[in-house]
Amino acid sequence: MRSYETVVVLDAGLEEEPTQQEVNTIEQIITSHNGEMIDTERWGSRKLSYEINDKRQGYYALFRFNSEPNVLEELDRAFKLNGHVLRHIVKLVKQHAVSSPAEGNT
Amino acid sequence: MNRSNVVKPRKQKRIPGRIKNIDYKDPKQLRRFITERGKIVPGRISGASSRCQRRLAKAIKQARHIGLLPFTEEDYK
Repeated sequence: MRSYETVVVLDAGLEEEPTQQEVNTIEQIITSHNGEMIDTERWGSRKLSYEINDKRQGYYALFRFNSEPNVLEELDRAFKLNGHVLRHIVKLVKQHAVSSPAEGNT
Repeated sequence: MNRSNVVKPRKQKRIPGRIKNIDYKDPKQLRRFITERGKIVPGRISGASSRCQRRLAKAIKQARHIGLLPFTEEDYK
């Protein structure tokens, strides 16, 4: 298992519901490949610094997860095929801060 | 022709060489290291140590990719 994070920029022109769906789909891809979602941060719609596919706004979401490296291929493929994904970046991170539901004592 | 007389006094460093928590997701922090045109400020001017400068450059490029920072700002000012 390794720790990854990925930022996905979705088309902000999408309605609330489809956006939600896209986010869920991404989480599902991770979990269905024995990945472990840590959390999802929705940054919401922000102005893009430059136009991407003629769009000025992007909906940002950050996913933190643990998984085997083979999930990345799957994610990459899904992102590339998905027309709503403007940009994505996947990064290996050292270790996610443990934020499991079981609140441990420090 | 004593050249040493023309040397300008060193500008005071405003940024310590070591920059902590360089993060491609934080455009606010990275903004300080690009010009208003969007170019990456060279290490000798930014004052970042070589190691930090490399990390900064990488972070800026990644931030550009996901649209958090501009590649170029044509109509600045």
